[in-house]
Amino acid sequence: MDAYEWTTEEEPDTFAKNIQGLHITGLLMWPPPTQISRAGLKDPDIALLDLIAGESKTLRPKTTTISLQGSVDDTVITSGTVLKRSNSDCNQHVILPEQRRRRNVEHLRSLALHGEKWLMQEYVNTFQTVGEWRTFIVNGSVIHSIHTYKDSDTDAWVATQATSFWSLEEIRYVCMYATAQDDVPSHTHYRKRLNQVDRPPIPSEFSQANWGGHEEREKARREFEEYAINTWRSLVRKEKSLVVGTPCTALFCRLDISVMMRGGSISYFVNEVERSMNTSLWMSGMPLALHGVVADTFGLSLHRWIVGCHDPRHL
Amino acid sequence: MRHGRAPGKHPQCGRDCPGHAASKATRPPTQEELRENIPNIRLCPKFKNDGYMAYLLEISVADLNRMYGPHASGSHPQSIGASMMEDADVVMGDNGVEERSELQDEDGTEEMADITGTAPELGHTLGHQYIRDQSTPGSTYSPLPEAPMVRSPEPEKAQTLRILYVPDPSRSRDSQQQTRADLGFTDRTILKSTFIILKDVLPDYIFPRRGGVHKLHPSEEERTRVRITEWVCGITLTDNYLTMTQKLWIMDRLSILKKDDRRYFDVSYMDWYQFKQIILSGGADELAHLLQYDCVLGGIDYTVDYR
Repeated sequence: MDAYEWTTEEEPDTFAKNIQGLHITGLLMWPPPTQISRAGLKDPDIALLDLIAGESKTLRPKTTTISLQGSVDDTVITSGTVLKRSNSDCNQHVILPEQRRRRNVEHLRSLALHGEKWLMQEYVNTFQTVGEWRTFIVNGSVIHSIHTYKDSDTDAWVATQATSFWSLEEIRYVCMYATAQDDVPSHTHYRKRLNQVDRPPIPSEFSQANWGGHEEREKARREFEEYAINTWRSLVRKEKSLVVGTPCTALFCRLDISVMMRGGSISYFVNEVERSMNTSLWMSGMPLALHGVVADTFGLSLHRWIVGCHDPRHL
Repeated sequence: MRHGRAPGKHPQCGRDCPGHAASKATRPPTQEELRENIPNIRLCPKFKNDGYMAYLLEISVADLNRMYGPHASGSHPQSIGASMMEDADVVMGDNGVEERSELQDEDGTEEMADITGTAPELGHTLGHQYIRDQSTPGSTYSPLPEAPMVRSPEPEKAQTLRILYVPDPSRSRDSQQQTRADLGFTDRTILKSTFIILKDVLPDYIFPRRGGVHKLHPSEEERTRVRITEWVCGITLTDNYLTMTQKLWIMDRLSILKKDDRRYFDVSYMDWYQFKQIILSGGADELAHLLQYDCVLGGIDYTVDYR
């Protein structure tokens, strides 16, 4: 990609250095370049999310860095993992387990010419079977969540605003049913209520739960949003000790949340944290009225942040 | 200090007078003017509370009383504001005996609060004091010596911040066709005047849609349907919506201080390539121009393939 149209190899570094110099003379930028630079590496976020999952006793896919230094062969790449590159959000730098031709050291090196890192992440099949929730947290509140999945026929993303949620227990049941495990819980009432007599649910069915009492659905929503906000809170607190100034995630971020199972246990996990100005807002799946609410909430917290940054008494 | 609304103060006051209500040519009052006018201002119901006046003058209630004399009202043995300060700094202990707050140490000498650390809390406390004072006009607690009055770091009035938005080049598109399957774009109906500006400054981030120009109401400005990149849309919305939100904000937070129609943001746009050029090899004037903005939104997005 050459959207930035650098004319020399050194220009990105010169740009970053000059921005840093201007920062000292009073140029304020949002998001703060040093924080976005850190986010681009991916593994600092992964390390924090692993730590938070350990504290909250929730599951996380295991992620390790691939060392491409020296004379290494393809055995450094563990089969069945998803390969991701730092400083990228595009498909070219995400290699799935079935893309065998691309899973070799030579190919990875050819796509990391500027010192980028490759990471291996445990494959989580629920991205395909359940999908992901893109949860927007602005100024410390969950503004809304968009459920997304990739349509297997058209290979296009489908996005719907999540207005009612499945409980983790319900998702656990259908996931176990889908994998035909012997110890499927004998929750016949789920079977009846989810109408899952002869097939597991398709991803679009996780966009909305259209059964159960209001109280039940509210409980499921709380379960999801409490996970999101607690993870966000822990993330911002930890970032506060690592970055200079206010972490930009405190103002605005999008948590990409999915579920994973291990040994019969199920939990939500955060796959990615987005906070740059290229973060897709998934407005296509957002009701029109919510566009203004997101913009307003962001605008107000941004105003407070800028005023605070210019105020020497700001904490 | 304007006097246009007090004709007795300046009988022939006109628009050319700096003190006229419509004039913007104001200056802070001198100490002499304050000394002369504060006794009269205190007669106004709004200023019968010395705490509020001290807040506006950025001094403590004790200083207010020392500099301008006690409050004219004879109904209270001491000024309402002063008693409010005592209420804030004296708390009842478990055994019902009054105790000094941590602002005073064991020796009875005042320990100055760290302004940086305590400003937000005390700022909020001031607001509560003002409300509480309506029902508890007096206090029997003995006054604290020179209780410090610090202000919240919140701005006194809504500042209009100058924002420079530099849309990321990785999200620009050559045609509307390319934006159809692009998740970073969305359909919006925006003011026609906004569209004309954006189309001129950011042609690769906004495209007109079929549906043409229409008005929501005959008296309203024309609107047009566009396909627009989300963040430009978000920032534009922010720009438009905050005129309204700002009023709510001021009503909620600062209504007792001032009402004005100033917007939160004044958004300007700059093309990435121009911005890049300034950062890489800009002259002093161009860099000085950037530094005039309160904040620049944009820069390299390291979370995409930026090289």
